[in-house]
Amino acid sequence: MLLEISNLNVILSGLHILQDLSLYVNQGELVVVVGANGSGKSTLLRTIMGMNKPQAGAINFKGTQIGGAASYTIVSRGLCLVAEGRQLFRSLTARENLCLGAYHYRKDKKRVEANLEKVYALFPVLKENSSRIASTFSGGEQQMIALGQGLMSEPELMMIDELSLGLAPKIIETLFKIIKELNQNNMSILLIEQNTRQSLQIADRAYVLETGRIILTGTGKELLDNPTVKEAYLGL
Amino acid sequence: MGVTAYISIILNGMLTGGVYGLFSSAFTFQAGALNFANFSYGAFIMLSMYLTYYTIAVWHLPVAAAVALILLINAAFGILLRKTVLKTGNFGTQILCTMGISMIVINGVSFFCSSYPRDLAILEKRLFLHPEISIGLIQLGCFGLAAAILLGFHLFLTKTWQGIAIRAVVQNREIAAVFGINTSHILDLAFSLSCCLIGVSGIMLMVMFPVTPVFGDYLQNLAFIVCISAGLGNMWGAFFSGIFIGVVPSLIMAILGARFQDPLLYLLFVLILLIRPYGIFTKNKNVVRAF
Amino acid sequence: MNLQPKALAFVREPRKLIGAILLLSAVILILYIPVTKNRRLMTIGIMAFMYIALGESWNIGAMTGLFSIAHSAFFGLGVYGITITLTRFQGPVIAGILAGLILNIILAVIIGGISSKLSGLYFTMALIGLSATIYSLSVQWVSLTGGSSGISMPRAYLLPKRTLYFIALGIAVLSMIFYVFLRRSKAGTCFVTTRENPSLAAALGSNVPFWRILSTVLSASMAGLCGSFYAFHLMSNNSEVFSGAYSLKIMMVSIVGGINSVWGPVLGCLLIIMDEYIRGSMPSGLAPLSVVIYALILILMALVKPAGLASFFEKPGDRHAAKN
Repeated sequence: MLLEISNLNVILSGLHILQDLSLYVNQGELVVVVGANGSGKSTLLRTIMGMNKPQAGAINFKGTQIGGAASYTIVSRGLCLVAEGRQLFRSLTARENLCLGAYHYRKDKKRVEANLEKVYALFPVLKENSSRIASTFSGGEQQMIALGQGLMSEPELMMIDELSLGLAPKIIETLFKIIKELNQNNMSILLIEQNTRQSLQIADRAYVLETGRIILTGTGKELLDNPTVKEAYLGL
Repeated sequence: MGVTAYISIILNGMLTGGVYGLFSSAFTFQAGALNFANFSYGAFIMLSMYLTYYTIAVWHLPVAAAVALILLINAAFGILLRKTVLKTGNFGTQILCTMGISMIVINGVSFFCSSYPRDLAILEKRLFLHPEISIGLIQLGCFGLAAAILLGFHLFLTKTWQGIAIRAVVQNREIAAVFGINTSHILDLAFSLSCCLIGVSGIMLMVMFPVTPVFGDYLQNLAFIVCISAGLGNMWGAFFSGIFIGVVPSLIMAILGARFQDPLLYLLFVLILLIRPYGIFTKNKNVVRAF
Repeated sequence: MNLQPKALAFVREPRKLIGAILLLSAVILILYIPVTKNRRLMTIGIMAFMYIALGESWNIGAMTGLFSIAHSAFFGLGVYGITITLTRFQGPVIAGILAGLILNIILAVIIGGISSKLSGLYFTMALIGLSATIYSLSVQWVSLTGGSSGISMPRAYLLPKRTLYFIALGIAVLSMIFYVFLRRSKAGTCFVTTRENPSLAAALGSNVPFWRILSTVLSASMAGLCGSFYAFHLMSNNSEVFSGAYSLKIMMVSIVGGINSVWGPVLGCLLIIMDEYIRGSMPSGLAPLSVVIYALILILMALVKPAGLASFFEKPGDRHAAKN
């Protein structure tokens, strides 16, 4: 298992946000966590990334415990986060944003340039506008910058928080396709989504998170056919 | 007064203003980017001036050693401030602590050095552009140096990894940490650098002016005026505003006489705050500050 | 003030009992000092009482969240108001006190008005700008103010130390009574709601700008009255009364002692007593060191126990940095 979370408990501002949460991601898998607003999805990723300390439970990445480790030590292990709301460095240029993804191996200039070219190949619109300030890009393009940033950090497991929030359907489709392609090229992905249908369609496995607890798990297809999921999350 | 006299005043004021611009830039960086209300700013410029005087005129240290010593002391204080005062993040605490530190520094200097003015009294060489218009060579040199240092700082912030990291941390600490930036170290670096700029400004000012323990307060007020006029966080704006402010007091003094230049200047400051607190030339009016 | 029920409460709680005992011993000491005719002790007492009153005045401003870092401006206007009236215009004492009050009210209205437009760092800078204007005016308007060397009160107004002592004591007690009265009044409640949640207060119909101006005016007037008294105490006054050193001392008394309590400045004046003692015992060359000591104390208190300061700036509230 690449990432293994056991009995994670997180309490923030007196609220027990995550309760005895266990999930895992294997090498090469695309795992999706769906859930409504406020179910604790973002807290999960933020805790893995060291922004919150868990009260109890273990987070194990590639055999090492990383629960409670400082944020900046985590990316060099091969774990990256594409945060929700397209949190970029808004007054920096697209190029600067992307390069910051490579900060933890910045001394190796050739590697940085090579990865930058790969990201540009994936998102040509960023290459054309690389010296524009990030805040001037559209929502979809900003999400591309955020994804590009994540890719630049050379992750083994890429965690994405709310890929589709606030974006137009056509762009969402494109982005999901890109995620699926990345996964097919051996990138392990943990995707957090409110957009249940499209994310379950590309998932290998998935979890359903409700008020801090995992209530269902299975393959993407199994959950799509699951009656509870159908009723509560797919509106059928 | 003749036109040439006015031109002289303006030119020389602009040159001196270069140094004002330098330390104002550093102040606006601390206040705008690092969110730190540093009311001990002037005291540390004054301290650097005194250190310059003592290392050069009294202890006769080699210039390089003197500069290194002053930069080191300022950087050390910067880190100390970050570890203690900045940790709280509470604005009221910052004001109180830095005002307290300012009092300590001013009175400490008064105690150890007494209050009579110190002056390096360097013989001034003047460059004559015209029989009646001359500029001081020292002023010119300091202006050039100040501009060069600021340019260097700008290049550092835009072209180097550490500089870009600083700008990233300032904008979004959490995400910066996600990508491996040790935000604490980066902020230490940013802070120490801006404090070194204080030291450099002090050295340059000592070369041009005499110093008393309360000179720092005056410089700090000037820095406030400059930075508010330019908009907090706007470093190049602060530099050019600083140049401007080098001219204004001398002009007022020449036109109206020395009597009320200070009260007028401060009243102007209050007016700017009331009418355009986000900066005279800033286009972005809706600035919701973190303060 | 109804003391009866409180007296019973004192006896039951040990901390309050100790407080009552300390208070009683302090009162005995205060009444004993003038009997000893010890001039130095009386001077220390005078300064302590005056700073209690100044501290209470600062706390009144603090009720609406006014972080008055240039309180010495109000104080100094009181000093200069009476001194200039008595010397340059040969007016009566009442006119002098009134002059100080009027100047302070004008300044306070301006500041109160500004506080509804600016907040945080910008407001602080506006305070600094205003106080710097006043300070530099006092230095440069030599014909009126005597420049940085200042002016002296006419010799005819020299009062004996004992009289000054009791006047100061009276001022301190009155300031404490006024603070308690204000805090418990409807105005006091309005002040505090203005500080805690201005948007909510405004939504509930409270005239927030008015309360801010009112509390600033009351705070300034009280400080100005202390200033007028100080003119009689020192007899020779200069621009230094407008300096940051006085502002810092006043803030220290209030903040270290406690902003939200009438006893705060009383506790804070212990530091003043300490400072006066030290300065009296040391050779005058060491005077700056006493400033270093109480500045250090202020910093330590601010860092270690910031709770008192947090209430000013914890909620960004509704005051934006710049209103168009």
